Amino acid sequence: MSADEFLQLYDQLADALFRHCYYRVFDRERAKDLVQETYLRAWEYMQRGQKILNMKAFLYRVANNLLIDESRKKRALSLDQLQAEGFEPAGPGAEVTETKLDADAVLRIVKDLNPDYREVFVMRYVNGLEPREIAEILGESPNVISVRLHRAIRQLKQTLAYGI
Amino acid sequence: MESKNWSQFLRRLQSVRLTDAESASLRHKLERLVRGESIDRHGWRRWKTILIPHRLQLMPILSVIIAAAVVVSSGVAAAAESARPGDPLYQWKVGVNEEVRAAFSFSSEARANWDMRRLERRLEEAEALAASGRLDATAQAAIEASFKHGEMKIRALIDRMAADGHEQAARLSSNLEATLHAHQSILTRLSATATSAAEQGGTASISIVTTVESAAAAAAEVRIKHEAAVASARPNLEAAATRRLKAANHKIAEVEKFIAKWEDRLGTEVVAEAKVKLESAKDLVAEGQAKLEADEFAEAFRLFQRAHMLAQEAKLLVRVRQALNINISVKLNANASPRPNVNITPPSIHRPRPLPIPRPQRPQPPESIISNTNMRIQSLFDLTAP
Repeated sequence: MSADEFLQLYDQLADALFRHCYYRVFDRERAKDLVQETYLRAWEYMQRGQKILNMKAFLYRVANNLLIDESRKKRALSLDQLQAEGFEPAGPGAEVTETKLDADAVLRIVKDLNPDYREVFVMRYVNGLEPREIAEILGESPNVISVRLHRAIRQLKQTLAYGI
Repeated sequence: MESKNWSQFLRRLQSVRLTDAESASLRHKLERLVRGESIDRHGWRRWKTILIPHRLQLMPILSVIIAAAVVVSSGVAAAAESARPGDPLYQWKVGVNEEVRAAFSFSSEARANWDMRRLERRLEEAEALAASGRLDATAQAAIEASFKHGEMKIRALIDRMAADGHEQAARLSSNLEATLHAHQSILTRLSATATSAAEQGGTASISIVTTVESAAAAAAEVRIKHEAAVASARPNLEAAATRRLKAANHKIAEVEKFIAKWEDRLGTEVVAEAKVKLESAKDLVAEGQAKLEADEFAEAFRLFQRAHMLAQEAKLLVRVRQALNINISVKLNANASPRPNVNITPPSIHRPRPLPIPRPQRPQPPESIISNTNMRIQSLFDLTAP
């Protein structure tokens, strides 16, 4: 893969990877660091002469490994703590959508979701990955992914239907 | 209703993305990586790993204090402060001293102010090297790369601060613009007065001047954007304009004292230029006060911003001159105003820009994902109804 192709990959996937990391660590700066480190490690891996068949899946796997390392270090964050730290999920300049669901509500809903469900839900419905791609990235069978997605949807649907 | 809530929920989740400045900053690092340049991927965290045992790294505040104690107590830190690109202690200055100070900037504004100071330090290094004829291509490339990285970082920080209020973002971008204008002026003069022995240094300075000029123009655009946002926030506009008036008056008084203190020890030319800027600042304050009394708060706010920026530039000109202790010959055009277009609109002067690395358009927000998702949602609601 050439340098230009690698940079194109950054342009295509940086936002999706950022969201993927963000909804695990709930911290913009850490999420940015993780995205940067993901790309750096991917480049270094290629420079060692290693071949990568599916770059997208590889980047997500690298990001997941970094997230696992990250979760071992950080303590659990309470909702109050996140808000006290100035939780700003969308970031300044983000497209403002007309919604009655404010940031606090979205944060609460997403945070309450089981981490395994949240992970596949974000990959599928926020970042647009196909279930088979998610299965390949996470090393699970497509059936397992489908079950988690179904349960994630059910839990979220109940929350949204019965008030926030 | 459920479907509508679901769409809104997804849109909110999908709105999380990198800002343009954040994305550009990250991309710039990758560009340097693929070109084979070394990058500081861990920054402060690397030195934390070296200096502090792993257990203590779990206590962030303690690790910062310990590292700071190590650095502060070391004579190396003090010696490194005067290092320039190419000196043995330069990496210590940038990678340790400056990172330690960054770690003690706890608020966003403090971080932005320190990042701006770091940017200024790069320009001061370039100026010192240019003045002594040592600004070769290698040193200039190193300074320019560091400058560009620092500038993108500040812009990303200002973008984030806009979430707390555009007034603060407007103020910071105004400070950034003033800083860059002042140093652009110094660097331009240094380029013009380079001796034949420092010809290479003099020629090399030109690209740095262009880089700084471009950065100043970009800072002006950001400032104008945030000023416009402040102007549109009607309920708070009068208060914002009043605050800016106080800040401008305070800055003018501060700069007057500063100039008076150093006047006898500096060249008459730079003092004269600084005083001209200061007088223009006072004129703008008077004009702004008239607008304030006429309830034209938006215009008043912009005029006070401009006044503050001109006063800041005046101080920087004198301060840099004093710090470098160099004899810069300044030929003031009799008709020159210190700033063309002192009104609100950006100068319409054509500024040659350095060739940028081509950056393709960022992909659009995933509208297709929403439309596909909505179709899947509908099928889910059809299939999964209890």
